[in-house]
Amino acid sequence: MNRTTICIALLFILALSLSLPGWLKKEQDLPVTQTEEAWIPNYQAKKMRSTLYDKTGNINHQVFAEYMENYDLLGFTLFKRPEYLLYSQTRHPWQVNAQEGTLYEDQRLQFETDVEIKSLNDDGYMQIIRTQFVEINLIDKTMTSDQAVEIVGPNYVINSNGFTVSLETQRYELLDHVKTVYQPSPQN
Amino acid sequence: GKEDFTKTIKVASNYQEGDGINKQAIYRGNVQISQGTLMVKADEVQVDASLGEGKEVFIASGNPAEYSQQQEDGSTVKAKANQIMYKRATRSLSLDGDALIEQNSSSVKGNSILFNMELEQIIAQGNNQESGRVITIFQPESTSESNAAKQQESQP
Repeated sequence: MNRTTICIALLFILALSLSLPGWLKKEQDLPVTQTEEAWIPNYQAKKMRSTLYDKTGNINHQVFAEYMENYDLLGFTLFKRPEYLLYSQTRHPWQVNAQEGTLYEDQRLQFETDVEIKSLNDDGYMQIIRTQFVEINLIDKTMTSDQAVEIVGPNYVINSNGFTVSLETQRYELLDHVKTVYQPSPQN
Repeated sequence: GKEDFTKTIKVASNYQEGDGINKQAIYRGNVQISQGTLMVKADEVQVDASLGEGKEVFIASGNPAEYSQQQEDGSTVKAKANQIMYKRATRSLSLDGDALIEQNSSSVKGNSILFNMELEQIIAQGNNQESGRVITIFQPESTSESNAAKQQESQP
């Protein structure tokens, strides 16, 4: 064992003793902070259909979505390409289609991008409502938007910026009405 | 002219509210109704669509509400009144409250006037004129083929 091997061994032991404590220190796992955890969806679903029945067994509302994520802590659910059936058991059921939808805990439902709201009973005077954003309050059954909106009826089309509509009484108000066009009368 | 009535009716206004169940709508804020050459300007217009498509009734009120339309012979008929009701089905206009209608250099004043826009003729005219004003009507030789009935001097 000539001196060089001893030196190398000494150096090796020195290096080892210096780095050993670092290796042995147990990495405590980083605590996931409260907010980060909230951003992780509690559950996700693809091609999901959820139906909510009321006491009498009728469908209260039904939603079909390509994709859905629920965030309990943040209190909302995100839908991709949702198709929402609303108030199906009332006289004025509505179907809402859009690119994105968000259902908040306080029963507010927001739809964005290519929103189309169709009245399912065809004698309703408002047949289709098209806009880029709408917020529906599921409790008092009203719908509001501040975006450009087009309301299509049997023989008229209304253009307006923003609207509020009561889905129950079918009363609407357009604060910034642009124009309404009535089609020519059918008979002559 | 007649082809106005085959055209769409456009209603522009600042504000509109309506009721889908009773099929009523109210327009407010410089309301303008236009259908071909037919024009109505008013402060408020109520539309009753409960009679069905093509049978809407437009009730325009203002001080005054104004109407104008080009006639078959190219001249323009004008009218003013506190309230102008345009019944789409009968193509008639009823003017109420300080009604005035000017047509082919003749003008008629009265409390209420009923005007058929298709025949371009005054049908009825109520004028409980206590003020005794004489309403003169100069009936021009009507060129259009509809033979305008000779209208005698109406008594106050």
